Amino acid sequence: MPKVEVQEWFKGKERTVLKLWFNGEDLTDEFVQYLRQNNKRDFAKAMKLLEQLANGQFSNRERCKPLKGVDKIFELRDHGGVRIYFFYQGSDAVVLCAGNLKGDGRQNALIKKCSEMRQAFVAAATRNQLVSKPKDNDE
Amino acid sequence: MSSSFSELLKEARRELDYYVTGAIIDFTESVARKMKALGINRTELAERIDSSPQYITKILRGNANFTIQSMAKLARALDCDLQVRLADQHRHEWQSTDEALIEDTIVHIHYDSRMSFRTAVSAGDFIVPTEHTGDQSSVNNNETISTAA
Repeated sequence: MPKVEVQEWFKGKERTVLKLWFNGEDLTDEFVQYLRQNNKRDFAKAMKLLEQLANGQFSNRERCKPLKGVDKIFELRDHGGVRIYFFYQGSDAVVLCAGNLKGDGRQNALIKKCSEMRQAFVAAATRNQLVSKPKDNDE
Repeated sequence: MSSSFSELLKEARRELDYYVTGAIIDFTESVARKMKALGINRTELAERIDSSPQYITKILRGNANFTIQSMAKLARALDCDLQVRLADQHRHEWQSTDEALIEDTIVHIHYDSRMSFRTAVSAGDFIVPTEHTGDQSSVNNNETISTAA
């Protein structure tokens, strides 16, 4: 049974954004750190999108829409290849992955993994086995 | 080792793309909201600016090469004016006062009860589609509804 942990990442004006750890792995951080090291521009764009997710509502469906064929996962995108995959949990948002996935051959596998992660989250929540991971120290 | 969000954000705010993306999101969101408020679809908006629905999709995705001219054209088609202003820098809620003081740029949206939108772009450049009422004093009474930065 996969180990699922949720961790509060940051709070915005509209909602709290959480990260999902799956079997001890933080996929979001893995991708964000990759951009941080290799593509500062996309890193900056991804951070802006995440901030916007916490601060506002998206009425523009070209910007934020349900992922086709995957239950309840949303895709938030910039005008380039940056994508954020997340789902809503009540009034909060749980981020599954954030990175530049344009032309990335792993995109389908990644979407599949995101779907698996959300299913594991739902199963763990149903069994009341969801673990809250302490928030990273912000100071 | 994961990084805290504020740490990552601080680093992202050193990049111009952070502000450009914010400005594009603000503008495309305000266009989408105004389309919804007016009950017009892409085809209708395209007709209003003598363009194609595909171009509107491109605009909403932020892929279009925005110019002041194209933005003003869209604003007018949505019964708005486009206004360009300078805005003071803005302190972010997860940022200390000291950090705010060294910040270069700010992006935010204002909205008022008469459906006017103000979008501050990099270094205080203001791009503002506002409802065309002929009364420019309305922009001084805006309520902030979304702080993109």
